[in-house]
Amino acid sequence: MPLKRQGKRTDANLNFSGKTEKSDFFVSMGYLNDQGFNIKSDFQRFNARINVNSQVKSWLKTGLNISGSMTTANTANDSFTGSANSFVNAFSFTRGIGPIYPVRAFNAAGQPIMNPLTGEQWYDYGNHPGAVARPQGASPGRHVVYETLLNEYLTRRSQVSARSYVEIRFLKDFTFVPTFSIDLRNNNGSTYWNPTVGDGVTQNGYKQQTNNTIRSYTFNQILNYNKTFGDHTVSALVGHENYDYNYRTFNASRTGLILQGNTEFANFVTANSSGGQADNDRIESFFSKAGYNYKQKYFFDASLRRDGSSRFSPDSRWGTFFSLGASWSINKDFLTDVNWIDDLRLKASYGQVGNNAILNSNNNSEYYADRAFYDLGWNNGTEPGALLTSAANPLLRWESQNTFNAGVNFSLFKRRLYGEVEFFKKTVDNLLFSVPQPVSDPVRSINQNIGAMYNSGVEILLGADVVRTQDFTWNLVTNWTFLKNKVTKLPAETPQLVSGTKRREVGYDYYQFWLRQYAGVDPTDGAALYIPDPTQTIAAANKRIVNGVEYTINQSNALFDRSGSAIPDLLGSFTNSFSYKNLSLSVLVNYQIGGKFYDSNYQGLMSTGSYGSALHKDLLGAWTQSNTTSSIPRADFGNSANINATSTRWLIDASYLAIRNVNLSYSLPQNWLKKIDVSNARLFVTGENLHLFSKRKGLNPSESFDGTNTTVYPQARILSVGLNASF
Amino acid sequence: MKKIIYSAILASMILGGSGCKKEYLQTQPTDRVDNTSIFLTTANANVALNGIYRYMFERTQETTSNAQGKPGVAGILLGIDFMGEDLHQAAATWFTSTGEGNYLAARTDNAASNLYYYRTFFRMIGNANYIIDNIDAAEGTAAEKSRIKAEALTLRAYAYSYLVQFYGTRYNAAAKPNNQLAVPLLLKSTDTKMPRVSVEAIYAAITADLDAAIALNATAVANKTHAGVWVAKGLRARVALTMQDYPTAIKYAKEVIDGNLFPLMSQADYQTGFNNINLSEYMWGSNPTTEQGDTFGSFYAQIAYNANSSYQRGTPKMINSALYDQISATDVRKKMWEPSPTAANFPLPLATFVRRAYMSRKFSVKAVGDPSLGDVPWMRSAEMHLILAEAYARSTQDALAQTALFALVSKRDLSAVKSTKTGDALITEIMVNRRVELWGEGFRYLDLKRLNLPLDRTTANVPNFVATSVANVLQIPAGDPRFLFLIPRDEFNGNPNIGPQNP
Repeated sequence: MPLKRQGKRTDANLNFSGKTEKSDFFVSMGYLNDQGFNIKSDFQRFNARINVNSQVKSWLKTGLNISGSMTTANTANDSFTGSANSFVNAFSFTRGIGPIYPVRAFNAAGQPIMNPLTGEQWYDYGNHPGAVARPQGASPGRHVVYETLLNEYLTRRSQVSARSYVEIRFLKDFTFVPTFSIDLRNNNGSTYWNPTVGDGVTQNGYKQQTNNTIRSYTFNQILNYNKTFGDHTVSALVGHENYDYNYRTFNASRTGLILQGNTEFANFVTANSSGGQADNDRIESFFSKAGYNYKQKYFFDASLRRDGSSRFSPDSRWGTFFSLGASWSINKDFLTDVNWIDDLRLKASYGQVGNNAILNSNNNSEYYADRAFYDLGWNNGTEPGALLTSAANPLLRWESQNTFNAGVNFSLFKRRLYGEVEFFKKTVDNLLFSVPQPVSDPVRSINQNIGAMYNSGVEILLGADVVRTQDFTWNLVTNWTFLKNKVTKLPAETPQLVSGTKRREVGYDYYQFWLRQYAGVDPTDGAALYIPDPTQTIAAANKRIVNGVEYTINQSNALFDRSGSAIPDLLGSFTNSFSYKNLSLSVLVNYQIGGKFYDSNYQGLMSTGSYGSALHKDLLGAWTQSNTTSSIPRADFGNSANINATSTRWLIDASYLAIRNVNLSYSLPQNWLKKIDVSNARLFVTGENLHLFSKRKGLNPSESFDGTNTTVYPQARILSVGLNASF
Repeated sequence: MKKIIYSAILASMILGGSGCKKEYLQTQPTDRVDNTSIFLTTANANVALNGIYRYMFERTQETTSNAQGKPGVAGILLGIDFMGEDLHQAAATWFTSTGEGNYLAARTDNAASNLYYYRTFFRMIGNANYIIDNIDAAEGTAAEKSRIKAEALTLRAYAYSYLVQFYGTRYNAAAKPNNQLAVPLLLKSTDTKMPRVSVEAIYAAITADLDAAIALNATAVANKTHAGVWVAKGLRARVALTMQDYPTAIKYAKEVIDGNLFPLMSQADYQTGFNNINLSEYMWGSNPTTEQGDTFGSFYAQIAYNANSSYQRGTPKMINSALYDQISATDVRKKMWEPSPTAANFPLPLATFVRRAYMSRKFSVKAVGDPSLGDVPWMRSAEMHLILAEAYARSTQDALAQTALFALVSKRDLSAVKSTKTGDALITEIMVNRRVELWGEGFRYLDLKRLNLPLDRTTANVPNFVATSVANVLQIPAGDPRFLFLIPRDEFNGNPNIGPQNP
């Protein structure tokens, strides 16, 4: 396929560090050039870092850490760049267009149509003069290869971060550390549409640039106290922090390309539009923490903090959060004479974290959800205009994520067998949620703290050196996670919240599908059957009786019901590592068992709503007059909306197994290295994302946790060869 | 000791100095304005009013599905024209495969187009309600307050007038009260989660709003993008016609015509592409600046013969050839369509534009290469002449109807003679004129529903109709449930009080 290529990845890094009596430093430089497997998807980065620490006086230490990077990315359009269904999304376009259509143009007689100027065959964009026209489902006028080649989607990013601190010791046990960090980030996004094919044709070329600058700083002041009296060790900390985030963006566009080959604004005739805005987000925090241990056997710690966020109204912006924890090293206490136990610890903790992340309908951060607003920019001709966009919720406050953990860590038989078993329960209180309002209301959704839910489960990690000899070891590490989720509270006025393919309600999990109930195929005419909604009056034409049971063939009359959860029964992974002398091999596999997945990409390929679009080969087995027992409804161009409606038909078992990483490495023998003054060198070959087994070819259930998919850039299979050396 | 002093000083400076001021956590957006300040003055309230006018022609944000083909209210007017038989295209693409032409969107509770129709008008209503509730307390002259209020009332009535026709069965003057359910009725900015009410109740609210707006008599509006008193009167006539209240329709249509502020266009103006609000018979329209143009997402991007979008290049819009054949050869409207287009008689901007028999040139962009610019006509005075003629004819005042019709036809066809037809024949002649005159402006489907007529796109009635473009939905009997839109699923999800779904 002309869109695909063998991408190359080059990654080179160089680090130095050094130390004098009172100072130490670290310097690193890096270069990365990563080509995606799609044409025009590249990422290039230069980065550098310097850390310097200096003990100026016996009681005064200071340090500075500066890093900077410069990246240029040629972005492929996919659902993450906000173009899930766009013609320039290669994954959407190639999945959607019927595979019978040629990349290059041919006339009806099958002769290639040549460009007399270049001597090359024209690309076939579906309505090239003289070429065979494509129907609507095959996107006439568009050509993702040709457009991708001629268009430009570039992101240029420059970033500098600096962090400096001063550490002052006083009164023996106290240190006072003010730290100041700044981050400066500049993103320049540039889009160019060519005048030959696609969206840029109409205006003879189009160029848009967005420039945004993020300036943020964090300033904190921490006072520490550490003291050991005999068997008792005490530590305490109090601090204050403020965080200030400033975002400023502007964008402009021009049309009418003057000369080929230059895509800067100066080379365009007409100004098109411009805009810009700025946002501020601030947090102020006061925090404290205390810890105590006795003989390094019993540990206790506690913390308390108050955070104020500019995202909430003055009366409800402060949240208070605390944590408590304890652990006990059992083997240091009464098991000291059991020599096959290397380590055995019990621990338990409870902690709260505040969350103020509210998203708007474009999935961007919403900083002002406490107030109601009119959006500017709805100007009517030359008259200024604004449109109501949000409703106020002055009561909006921090969501609190409370985690309780209890577990045991152990290491036995000189670390032949080790592991960790942990029970966790993560409760979310005052859950922040954009609550859908009636379509007839002035605003479509209001951000609210709607209720509570929890995630609880058990995580088990078990590792063992299965074989351990002088030259050969085989180590196996496995992980299992069992997870349960339940919504425990929702407001009385909105006891059920429908959002996408899910409905949230008390007593069920957050990822419970809520879908129309598909019931199979009517053998008489191949219609898709649904379980009828008993509360609706269903027109006779939409009713069907098959084997004495009443169904409906109109999706709007179909019953919605709970349809299973996206949460798997078990998430797990295992890593096998083998080493023989200087050679080592590791294989990481992860998998999930159970859970459901809504495969909308498959639904798209099974839908028959527009001529010329690609179809899944399963449709060959669809109902026909001679194949009346098929489990796939008839392929009907005119009624695809009902036959292929969003329903339980598209749910599939989300179990999968993926070979994520295989690494083979060889450490060069020391006696060679000494000769060239190298202390360590390792040659390696790594393969990432080597294979994924799932219930349907092409389905990647790990794409999202909520069990839905879209037209994303699929995971790349990466093979790398490299050398690590240190001097 | 020294270091202790130093640290103490430093610590107190930093800790003391950094305890932030209260304002530190009070941030303001820059791309929007607080709803409390927007109604402080009439000047600000006017900003809120203009937002609604902009919303009417802006590409929708209520769905991301095929948003380019959904330019606000303008896209709805075009969409419902595709639900009739007079405007069509050769392929199943936008406005047909998106659910309008094949009647699927109306009958599918989660169709993007259905949600867009419902939401667009309710969003206008929500915005208008805020203005109506808050304008009296704003600072400003009484005249400004009443003008703004009158416009908001007119906009609210306009929005309900479409909703009631989509989501309720037709208003039947012979079966009052019309108790069949329509949509929720929100008349205050604080109204929320309201139940569906009857068609009769919605029409009562519409007529009350329009009567109030007419009484406020907003004669001085900034320009024709504003719905002043003449628009209120025109809309009152339009609504009365739908309610089969012919005396009221006559009264207000006549007032507008007699006011003579919007004289019918000249033959030359008629051929300028229906894209300019300054054309004399535009009573109300949009008027975007170049920056507000939308190359692919404007009304003109969908229907102007020379709009350079993939959709328009490949799918010219055609007229029902049987209807075309009824237009007199000397009628300027005959020139709006071309039965056999060629490069010579129908030049197009690029070779990639497709030509089809009976394609339209009624609508044109302002200039080829601009961002598909044009001023959408929301109301033209030609409609008033047609309302007047039809209302007279349907209330058996044939002579007055003939005169009213001739007032329009004589301007369109300079060699026309006054019709001598009477009764049904006269009504048919008026309706033919109405279909030709208002083609592409969102009337035919509503006329079918208002008059309880069947949809017939079969070859006998529309010889050039391409059946595959609408998945062979060629005939729908009068009064069929398909003429009734289903309430969007999202409304049920968010509104526990909504009541039953339509059958």
